Amino acid sequence: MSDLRTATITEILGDDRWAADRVCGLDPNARRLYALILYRFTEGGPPDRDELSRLGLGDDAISELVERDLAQLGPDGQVAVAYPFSTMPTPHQVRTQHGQSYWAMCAIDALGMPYLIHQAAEIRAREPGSDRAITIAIDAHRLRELVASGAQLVEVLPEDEYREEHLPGAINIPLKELDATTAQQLDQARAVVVYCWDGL
Amino acid sequence: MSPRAACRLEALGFTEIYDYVTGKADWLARALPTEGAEPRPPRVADLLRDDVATANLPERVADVRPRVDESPYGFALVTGRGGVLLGRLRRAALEGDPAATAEQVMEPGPSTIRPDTAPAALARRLGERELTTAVVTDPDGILLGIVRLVDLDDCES
Repeated sequence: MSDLRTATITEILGDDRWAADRVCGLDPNARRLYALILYRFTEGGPPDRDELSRLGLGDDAISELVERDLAQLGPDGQVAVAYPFSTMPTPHQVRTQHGQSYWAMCAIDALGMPYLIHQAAEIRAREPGSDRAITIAIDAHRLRELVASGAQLVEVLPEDEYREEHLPGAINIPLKELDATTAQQLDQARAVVVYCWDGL
Repeated sequence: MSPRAACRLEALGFTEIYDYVTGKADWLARALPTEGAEPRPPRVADLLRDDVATANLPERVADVRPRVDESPYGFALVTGRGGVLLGRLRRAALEGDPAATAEQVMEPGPSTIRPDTAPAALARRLGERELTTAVVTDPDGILLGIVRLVDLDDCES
């Protein structure tokens, strides 16, 4: 028997990492600073220290964010990380429906980011241990965007079902025939979208 | 099937792979275009009509009623953000308080079908329930139109 069970967020992250507690006790200035930094991240990147000083959100507020591990500074003293955002590439990229792209600090941060920015988003991640790509499930709207941007569409149902009816532009590689030889008709450098009848 | 195909492609060295999990069933249920052998089997999508009166939640009954009077049907459909079907305004509601809003007097959550339904199957269902129309939405609940029993019968014959 598996000993898998449902865990709470606190159990996964630990009490000291639970963001609600880390944010609730913030000094009002530090809270204002944190909100500003997150807002600026959604617009493309964090504010620089000079701007923060001009706004009266100086060293004390930043120190508090760093102390509570809500932000991290880079070697140049500028804000490099404010959870969930990172200025540096990570294995967890979040791309919004409007084409903006963000780096998330971890998989959980990536999952929360669409809610934070109030936009549907797609997450591209790599498995930390093996660095293998992770396949992403998409809907019909995203499918059309991907195909319009050059993705290859592959129906993996048997040939007779494909011949009867398929999505526009799809090619057919039945699952039972999918191997190194048949896959050669696909370009490895381009995105591939696979589909069957209903995923089963 | 497609999750296994995605896994196989990954093992073959592909790095950017997407799985349209809901697949062809979802595509057809959205009445999106397809390619393939002709003629394909008839579907309700071929018989869709867009002449049903619609209303927004805050609209007053007095403002909706003239549109229903001009339409071939004795009811209006209430839609929300993005055209999602939320309710139906029946004749009795339309003949009630003219100051009431659609939201106040609508019948919420009307039954719907998908556009890839076979006309013959739908004709049987409508006949059994003594209905003359069916409301068609896509899988997201977006109103696509109305289909009439008389058109289904014509299609069959």
